[in-house]
Amino acid sequence: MSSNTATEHGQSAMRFAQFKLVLLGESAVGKSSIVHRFVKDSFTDSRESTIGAAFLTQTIQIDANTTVKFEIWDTAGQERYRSLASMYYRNAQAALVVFDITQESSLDKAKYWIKELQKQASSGIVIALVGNKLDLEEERKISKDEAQAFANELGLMYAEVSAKTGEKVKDCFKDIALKLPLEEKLSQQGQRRRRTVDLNQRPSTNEQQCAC
Amino acid sequence: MSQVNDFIFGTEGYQSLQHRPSLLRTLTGLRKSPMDNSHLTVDSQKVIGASYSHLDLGASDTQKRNSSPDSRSVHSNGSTKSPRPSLNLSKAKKLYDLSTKIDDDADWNDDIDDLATPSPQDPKPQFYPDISDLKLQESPMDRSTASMEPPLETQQLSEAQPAQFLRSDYERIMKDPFVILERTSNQSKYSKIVKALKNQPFDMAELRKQTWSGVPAALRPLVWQVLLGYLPVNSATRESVLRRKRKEYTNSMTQLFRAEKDQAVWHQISIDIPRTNPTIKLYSFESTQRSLEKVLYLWAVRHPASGYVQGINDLATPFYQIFLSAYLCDHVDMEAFNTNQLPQELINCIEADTYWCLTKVLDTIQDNYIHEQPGIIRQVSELRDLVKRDEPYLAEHFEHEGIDFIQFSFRWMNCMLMRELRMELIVRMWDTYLSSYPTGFNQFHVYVCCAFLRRFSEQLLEMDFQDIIMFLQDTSKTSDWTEADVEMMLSEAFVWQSLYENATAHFRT
Repeated sequence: MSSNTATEHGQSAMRFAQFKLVLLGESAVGKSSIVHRFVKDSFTDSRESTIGAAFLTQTIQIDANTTVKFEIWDTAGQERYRSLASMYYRNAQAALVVFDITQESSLDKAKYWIKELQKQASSGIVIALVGNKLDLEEERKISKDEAQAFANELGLMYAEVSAKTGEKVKDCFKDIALKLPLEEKLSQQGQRRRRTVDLNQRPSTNEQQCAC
Repeated sequence: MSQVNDFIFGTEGYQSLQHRPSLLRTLTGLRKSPMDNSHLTVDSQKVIGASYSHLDLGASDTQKRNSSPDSRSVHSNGSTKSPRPSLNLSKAKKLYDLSTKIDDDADWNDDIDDLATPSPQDPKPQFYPDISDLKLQESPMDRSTASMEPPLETQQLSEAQPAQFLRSDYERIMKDPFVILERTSNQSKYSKIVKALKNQPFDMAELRKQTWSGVPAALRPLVWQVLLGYLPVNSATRESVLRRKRKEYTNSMTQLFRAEKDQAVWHQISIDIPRTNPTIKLYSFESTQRSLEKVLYLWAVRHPASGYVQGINDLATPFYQIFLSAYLCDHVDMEAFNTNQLPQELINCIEADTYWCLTKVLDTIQDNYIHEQPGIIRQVSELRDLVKRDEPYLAEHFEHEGIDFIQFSFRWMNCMLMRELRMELIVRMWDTYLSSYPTGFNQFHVYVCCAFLRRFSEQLLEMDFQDIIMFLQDTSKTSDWTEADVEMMLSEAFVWQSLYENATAHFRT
């Protein structure tokens, strides 16, 4: 993992925050491939279908002194697993709703997920509509204008990426990170830390601490 | 072994296990079939443990039992036997009954009547229509997803000499898989299973007992079909029954592909086929993919309550490759075998056998795949209870870290651990599951999952949320496993199941 932890740099102004991100979208649009490109910078043509959900993490630096860690739940796309998905998006602060630009039905499914997120997920959730398989431009079925217009209408971020070539994948996650309520998260983390000390509880092991 | 006795029968055996969770792992004596250990049985007929509770049934009238639609009785057995209330079972049961009413069970019943009196009208030599031309055309929609897929191996070898890879007696095996016994009966390692297959009258309980600890590869295609009650042991009716089942399959297939395609089901299957067992070359060949596609599509259409659900594709593959292996010469590397070179007639047989046997297994776990997947929810909850009792420290640690069992064990139930272990190990595991049919896949499996998890307790206790989830979903942790590891896991699961059944029986009285 290519993480730049706060402690490697100066003590003074380093900021670190972590966020939960969920991927949703129709089967075989490339959700797992996008995550693997982002986390491991790799791609394979023959990836098994995701069953249930997969968990991965990745850390990115969004500016000289700010690092964001994503805890990513990559969900299964098949209709049958739909009821499971709420478990994963429930506490998510960000969602990547993926469709396949060569597959018309996949945008409808993406719209369904966006509707569901707006109804059920936490209110401040940052949603990005992401068209995958940009490398198959000649087979495109969904025009960029159409999808972009839909995203604009609902005030969502919009990106087109290729998990296969890697094009725009990192940018997409970085853009999401920039939209996340960083200050709010940092102050929450600060409060929680103080409370932990006050109550003399054992510090949570799975919480990365900010070094400032 | 006396330790084991104490565990099972001693009054404080269960208590002591709670505090010494790792002790069982040292019981290497359990490697052999627990069924060989007479002290595990209460009397000579009944064996402790849910997976064997049906054994006494098997002895009486095997033929009838084999052909009966077990699924409904299994289901109700499962729910009444369980000492804990099962989740949402009444709803599941309703859906389940609905689905069994409209699925293949009727076909099995039909065959019961036909078993004794083979129909004279059966056309003998040409026993099924040629379905080679029934290759479904991909819709344009399907094609666009193909770009995500690895290149399909379409290369056909010249039809010159099929003898190079097919056994010289393959046509005879096709008609009657018992021909396999001719080449194995002289070898001692096969003798007990062969004897059980040849017993007159046939005793299913004996065959189950002899196959629990594994089936030699050469006998597997035959034994699996017998254990599932698909292949009749009765030599008088065997060939005609097999012929009819295969004909029925091909007829259904012909009808199915004349009708309008269910696009949603077809689309889901067609995008999953290219990513089924992607690391095994056998599954990259076009013929393999077309066969699995047909099998899955027929099953899905005939079981509308569940339809095709991802994971069912995984479950079809052990049958496909084991049944294929029956016809290949010993020197052929089956996992890399190019199926494009197989004669169509043989392909049809393998497909039909795969279809019927997959159906038999899915009958016992269909509520894993219906709406909201109540079977899986129940199994995950059973696993959670088992771990709480058997490995309390681990359960506590998971709770502290905020781990929900469904986060890691959903896949274990949905795919029967097929994503966690290599194919050769799955095949070995299925010997035992099938020998415990019909409860192997829906009851015993939960104990196996518990044993699987316990294998990693010590490591897991040192990890936090993130590491636990990533470790449990990482399949490389079993990459150095051998059959011995699987057998240890199965034996442990058996002991726990026996213990559990014993303990709850004790509470009941």
